[in-house]
Amino acid sequence: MNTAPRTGNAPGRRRRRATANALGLALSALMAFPLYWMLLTAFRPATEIHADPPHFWPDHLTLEHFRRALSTPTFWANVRSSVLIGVGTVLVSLLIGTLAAFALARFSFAGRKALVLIILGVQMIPLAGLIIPVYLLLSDAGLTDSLPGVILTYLVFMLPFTVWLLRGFIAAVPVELEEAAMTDGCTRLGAFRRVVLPLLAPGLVATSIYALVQAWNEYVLAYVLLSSNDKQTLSIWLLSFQTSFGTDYGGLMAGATLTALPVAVFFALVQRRIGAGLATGAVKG
Amino acid sequence: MAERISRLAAGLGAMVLMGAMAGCGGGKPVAAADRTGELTVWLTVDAQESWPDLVNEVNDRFRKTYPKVKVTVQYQQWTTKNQKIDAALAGRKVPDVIEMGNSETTNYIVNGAFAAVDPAKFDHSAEWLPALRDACRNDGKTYCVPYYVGARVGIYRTDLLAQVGVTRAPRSYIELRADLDKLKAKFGATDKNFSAFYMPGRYWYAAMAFVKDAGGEIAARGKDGRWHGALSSAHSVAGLTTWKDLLDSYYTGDRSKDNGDEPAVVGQGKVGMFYGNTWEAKAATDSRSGGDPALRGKFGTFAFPGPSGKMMPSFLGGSTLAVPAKSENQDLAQDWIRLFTDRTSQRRLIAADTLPNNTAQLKEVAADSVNGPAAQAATRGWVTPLAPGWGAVEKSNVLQEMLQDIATGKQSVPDAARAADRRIDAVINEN
Amino acid sequence: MGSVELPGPPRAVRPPRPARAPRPRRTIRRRALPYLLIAPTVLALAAVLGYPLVDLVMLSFQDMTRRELFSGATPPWAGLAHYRSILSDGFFWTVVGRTALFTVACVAATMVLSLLVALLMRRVSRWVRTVMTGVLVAVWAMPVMVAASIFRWLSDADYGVVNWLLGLLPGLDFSKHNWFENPWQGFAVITGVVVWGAVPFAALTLQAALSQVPAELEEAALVDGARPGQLFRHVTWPVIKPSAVLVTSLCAIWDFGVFNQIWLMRGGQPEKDYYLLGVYSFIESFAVNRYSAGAAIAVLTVLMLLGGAVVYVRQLVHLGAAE
Repeated sequence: MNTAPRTGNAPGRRRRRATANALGLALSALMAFPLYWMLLTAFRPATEIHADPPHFWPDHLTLEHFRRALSTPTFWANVRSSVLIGVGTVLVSLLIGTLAAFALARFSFAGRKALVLIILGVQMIPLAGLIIPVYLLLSDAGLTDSLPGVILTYLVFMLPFTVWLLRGFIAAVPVELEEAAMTDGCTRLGAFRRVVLPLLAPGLVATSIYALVQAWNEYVLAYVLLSSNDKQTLSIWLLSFQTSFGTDYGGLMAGATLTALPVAVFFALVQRRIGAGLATGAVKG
Repeated sequence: MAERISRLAAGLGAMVLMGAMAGCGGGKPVAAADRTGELTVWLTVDAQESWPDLVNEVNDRFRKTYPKVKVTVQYQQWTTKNQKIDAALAGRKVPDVIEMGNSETTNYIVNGAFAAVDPAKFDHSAEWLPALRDACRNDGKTYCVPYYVGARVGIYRTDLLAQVGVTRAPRSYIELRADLDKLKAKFGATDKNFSAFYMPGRYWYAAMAFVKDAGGEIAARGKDGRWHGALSSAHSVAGLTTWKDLLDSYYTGDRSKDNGDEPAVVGQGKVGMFYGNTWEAKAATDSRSGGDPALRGKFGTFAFPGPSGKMMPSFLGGSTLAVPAKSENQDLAQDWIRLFTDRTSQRRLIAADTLPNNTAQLKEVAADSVNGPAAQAATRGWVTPLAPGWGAVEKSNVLQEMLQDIATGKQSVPDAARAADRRIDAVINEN
Repeated sequence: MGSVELPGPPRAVRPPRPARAPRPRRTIRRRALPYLLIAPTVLALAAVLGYPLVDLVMLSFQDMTRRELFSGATPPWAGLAHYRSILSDGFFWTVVGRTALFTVACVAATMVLSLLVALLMRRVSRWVRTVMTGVLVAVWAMPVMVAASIFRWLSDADYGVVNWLLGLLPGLDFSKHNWFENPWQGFAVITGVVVWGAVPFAALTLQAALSQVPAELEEAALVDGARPGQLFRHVTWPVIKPSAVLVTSLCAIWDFGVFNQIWLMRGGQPEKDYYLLGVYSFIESFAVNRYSAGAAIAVLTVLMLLGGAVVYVRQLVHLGAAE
């Protein structure tokens, strides 16, 4: 099951491939089912959402939930906040994360081990315990209810992982390439820019996916840090579908679809990039 | 440590500065028209959903007096607002007006979060509903202003009751149960999901009304001034038993739920009668909350007859408005609240099917209107214990878990009540 | 269009080149360079995380109530009182045990499923691989809040589609079955959400690592008569091991601190049976207003994670320090 021999008779191989395909599709269906139910709920008239027994297949479809979600007064302002926070977090963490990753991958220096330990340790800190201390810190710095404050906070939670991932990529770029460029008269920075950076592209993309997903979906810190309704992010906006009147499942699922869509599109776009990067065989260590 | 001290120093500095400013203000008053600044108001989403016009109107009226002050209203969710308020009150820039539920205020007041207000400045302050007024008082001072209140009533499907030959709302508990038996016999026989009476296990506002009706209490204050749980007292247990019996007889849904999905369940036509706020009947016809617009006009409300023979004592869940002690615009904040809770504004709330903050205007609610029974119920209402640790009891779900254990049969009524009392005793006296 | 490739951690681990003896001026710059490079990261971590962390630890030794929180006054010193009362509380240890069990279950399920998916992705036709990648990516893009809402909705006692589907099986009656009445079943659903959300990251990372396994090596092994099991153990596993270790430890860390899924699935009112350390700390801090006790639980959580993860950390530090 684990390995498909590349040699052997053709019918056997075909059968194995068919089994694998069937298994793969079954797993995909299982994984995708909650998404299917989300979309179904989003496109279904409100009166049918609570049908008993549940209707398994789509029958009457409607856009009413999407219309309602899009007409929320703060929707576009929330989109703007989410985009600014997401892009800001990704860019800044890539920028300063690459520097640290380069140092970790290429230099041996005192305190290196400690840094690796800290980077892992940061992942372990429970967020809930930090809400008030972080708020007080940003309050002292005058950064509450401001997007830079949120970006800064997200940054520290993303950085460790960013550094860790990028370090692996940089380590995989042969040092000789860099040295060759330097003997050809490049400065270290020049060598980094011309040799390492292009080879690092897939790593940067992978890291940005991770950071973007985290920043896009986080809501506990953002909720406490941002109080203006028009500065809040989409994941906080989603909370507004749970009202004291009960949960607006149709609206919530439509909102969730709208929220997840940009991230999915971003995935689809960068996916091709990574494919191209791999095609050149550049990342082979 | 150093940071804390510096923060403390900064706070003291600010206080000195404020004192100095107040001194200046006394000598040379700034005309209202020349006042500048920003006023931040935190309301909960109810205002945004149910009376957004009132908010705009009050802001317009406020602007006439203070044309240069910018008012920003920010809406918060009930379920998540407290951790945010805690963080904000600890920080530097606090909102100037905060809406608080009347069961939440005590803990904030005893911990010095709010500035005292002068009740005389507010309309009808002598007739404020005790349920709200008491929640705002501590040591003879008033720390918040009543905003509105809600009382629970019986709500029934007029069309379904008509089908079993009942044409008027029940006037006694016996009559109520007789009607429910008829509903159950007719509709419950064909639909196993039909609940003649909707009463999910974690619906503590309803269950506690039965406790109160039977003469019981959630918690009582001893002679030494300390609070202790009273759910295992004979009266309370009797009330809980009556509640359990109603649930066993007429409710078919999930017993570990609270009433959060009630509009959807009622909207699906699976419920004959329920106990709730009047606006919940409206929510059951609103597709946003899973309700069915086709049911519009098919609901009637009635003052719920308690098993004791008197009207069921309703929990008076309401809201108040407070000014944080750290606010730099306390006078402006009070002025905004004054407008937002004055006679005219309260009249707008009544028009939006909400009960006003005072007994005088409670009489303006037409007896035959949808809210008439609620206004009646508000006269025999109760509030949660005004103990410093009450918020902790509520937030750690002591009552909900007890009721769930009772409803699902996991524990007997006395056992569950004793366990709940122990948990209440552990936190109710803490600040 | 390939699939989304996530980096496996370092493949070629190289010892650092000894610096060739350059002119002295450059040596100083060289020595300073790594510190300059890590400076922004270290500064950001120290400022935004270090200070609040110190605050958190301090808090756990004080007795902070809302009064001090609102006034900014220094809370009275409590010493080890909170730690002593928490550590001697049987309930705390119940929660610890539950959290550990939950973590093990989630991590095991995530890793087995992810490895299965990753291995499968190498075997299937190109179009099936695209479908699988698409599903994984879409699931990954789901906010945890939405995932929890969907699963709560799926497992609803009265209207949930899961009960209905199970009821279609002969001999089973799941109508009105409440999944959360029995904590074991409730945690099964919660494990479902957590694993569902974690599989994309883990599977795609492992799949990227698998793509580093040289096909020639596999073929050579097979020609030599290796059985599939042997092949996996001796050829495939050594290559993906660093990634697997990394993913496992990250999942373990995340699952140990799970908060959102439980909070949202229980409608913001989790029963005591559903407390894990993250939830317990949050409730103590924000519901019961024992900020200091909440902080102490948070500190203990980190300490336990550090203790429990020491094996992994040593391996990872070793990995990171090897070059």
